[in-house]
Amino acid sequence: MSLQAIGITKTFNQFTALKDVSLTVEKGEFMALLGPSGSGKTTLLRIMAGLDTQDAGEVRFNDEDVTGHSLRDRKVGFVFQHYALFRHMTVAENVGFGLKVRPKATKPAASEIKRRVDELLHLVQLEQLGARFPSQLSGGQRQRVALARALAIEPSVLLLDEPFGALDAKVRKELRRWLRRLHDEMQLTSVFVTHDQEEALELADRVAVMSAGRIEQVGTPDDVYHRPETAFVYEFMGNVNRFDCRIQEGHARIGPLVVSAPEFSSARDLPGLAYVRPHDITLRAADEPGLPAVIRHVFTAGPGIRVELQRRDTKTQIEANLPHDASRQLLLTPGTEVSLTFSGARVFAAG
Amino acid sequence: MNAPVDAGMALSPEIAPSTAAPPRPIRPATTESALTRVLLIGVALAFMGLMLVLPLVAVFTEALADGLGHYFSAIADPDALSAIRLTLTVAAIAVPLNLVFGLCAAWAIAKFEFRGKSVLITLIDLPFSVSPVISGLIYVLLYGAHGWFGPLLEAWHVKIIFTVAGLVVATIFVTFPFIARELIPLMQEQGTEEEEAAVSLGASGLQTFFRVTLPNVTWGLLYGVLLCNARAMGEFGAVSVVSGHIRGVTNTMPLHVEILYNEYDFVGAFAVASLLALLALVTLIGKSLLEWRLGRRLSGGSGH
Repeated sequence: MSLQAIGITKTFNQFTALKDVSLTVEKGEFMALLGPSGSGKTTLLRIMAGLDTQDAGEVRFNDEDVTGHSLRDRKVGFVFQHYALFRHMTVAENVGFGLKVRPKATKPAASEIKRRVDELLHLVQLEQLGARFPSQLSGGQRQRVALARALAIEPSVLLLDEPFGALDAKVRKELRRWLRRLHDEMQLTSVFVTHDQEEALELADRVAVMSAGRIEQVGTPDDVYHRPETAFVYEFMGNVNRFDCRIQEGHARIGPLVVSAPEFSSARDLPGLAYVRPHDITLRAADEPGLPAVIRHVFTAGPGIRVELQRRDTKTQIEANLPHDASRQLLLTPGTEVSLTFSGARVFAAG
Repeated sequence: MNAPVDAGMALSPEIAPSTAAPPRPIRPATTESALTRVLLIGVALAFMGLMLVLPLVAVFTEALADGLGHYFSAIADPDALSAIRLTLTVAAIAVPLNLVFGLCAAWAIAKFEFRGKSVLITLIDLPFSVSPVISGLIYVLLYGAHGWFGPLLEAWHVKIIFTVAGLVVATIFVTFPFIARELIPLMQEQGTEEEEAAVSLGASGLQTFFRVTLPNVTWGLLYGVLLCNARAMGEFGAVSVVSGHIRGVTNTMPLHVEILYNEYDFVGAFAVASLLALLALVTLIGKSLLEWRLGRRLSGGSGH
């Protein structure tokens, strides 16, 4: 089932949570809503599910307007951030709930419900825990119960609100690979909300980056990471250094450094912002041309070397990532004076 | 060259050698000295014994002062039996009604946002802050023969004041907050996510209430009912004003105790009082059991 939000606006008292937001999720797609807290991503998800109502705009399922349909009628699988498991029911009762509350005409027999529950528990690898209560499970197990419960009503759309937010890093990685497989096997259309760009980039087919109630960019993980359309997206997608610069006829000037900005070929002395990823920074000896800086800290643990530097002129912090073999060519000790050059920079007009 | 590693080593602080100070007795920060503890506990126990235990013992001693025979004949007195019956009747009507009202109020306050919510919360506390005698007088003023609705009620041949109906109304007023007050924080803490989950899974409003909301507050609800019941049976002030003290008709147990006492029938008064005291003890035991149970559930134990 394809999902569409058209011109959604939502305000809470004085606060505008969503401003004329439109988004299309294709059938079978795994879409991430990515943004900082307060960007409106959860509100958009809840409106698509029918948990909240929009002030203006339309929600469409398979081109059918479902704005007037209640949460109950939309039959979407919804997974809550804190799982919202029924605390007084066992795991099996939780999973079977959606089948048990069906009207008499469509309600499966008790034996059929039990069979379905067993099947779902097998799917989420919790066969042994059917008789436990939610309070007796770990976070990852609760998350899987919540998923099994949502899948019991056989939804074609699965909406997940920060599905891995409350889990530790290792469980989170395992679960998201598993969820991706599940999505593909069950041919679901899924939307999940996250504030973790790494999670969004790894898991989703497409990512919608949100900020302050608007969608900044929608695209594949490759698009939003390598070709950010706005300064916000650039800044939000992983670590980045920001430099004030002056743009002039296709070039941006950062202190003594000049980087190319072909989009601004006709600009005449415009204030701008240049973004440089830490791995696009090269450290050279201080007597070579470049932006003068001083090494402040060196962190060697991890896949590369992380160096914290301070610009000589403006005293602002800069972060650089170097491959481990770079340390052989340079003396990386705090206090060393170096010269920086950028192998890639993206320039936006300021303001 | 391994310069970065060297830099890292230089940064790590040296571990200070432990100085050889003589070991001192270690006491947790929140513990007092033995003398303070004994004094505090002693004062608390003495106070409780004097103010709580002694009166309770006195009730039973006085009641049994003339022997078991007198005790039972005092209870079996027709007026006493009628008072017991009336007290049970009033509680049996008032408590279920407050169960429904309290649940409704708590549900509305905890699960929905609406205008005037804070006013409603304040109003729920009103019976706690108003003297019960005033509560009784309010109803006399409203429904009495010379009250606001007096003529109207008389025209319909409905009598509230000086009847069982009056007792029930006054009792409901006085005991209203017990159940609502118990449930509101519990329901607020639980939030609405489970209800949202239930509806998203296809449950109707009623199914959600009976399968999710209600089971989640069962123990809190029982606790509230217990407290409400204890107060409903023991209420004196409000009931006294609206009752009219008609023996065998509108006399509840607390009122009957007072009448007997004023007539110098101490054995009779204390015999009936001992029943009320017994009821209080049973309530306390039930309350402790529920608290134990609730505590276990809230602390994340299985609770089942």
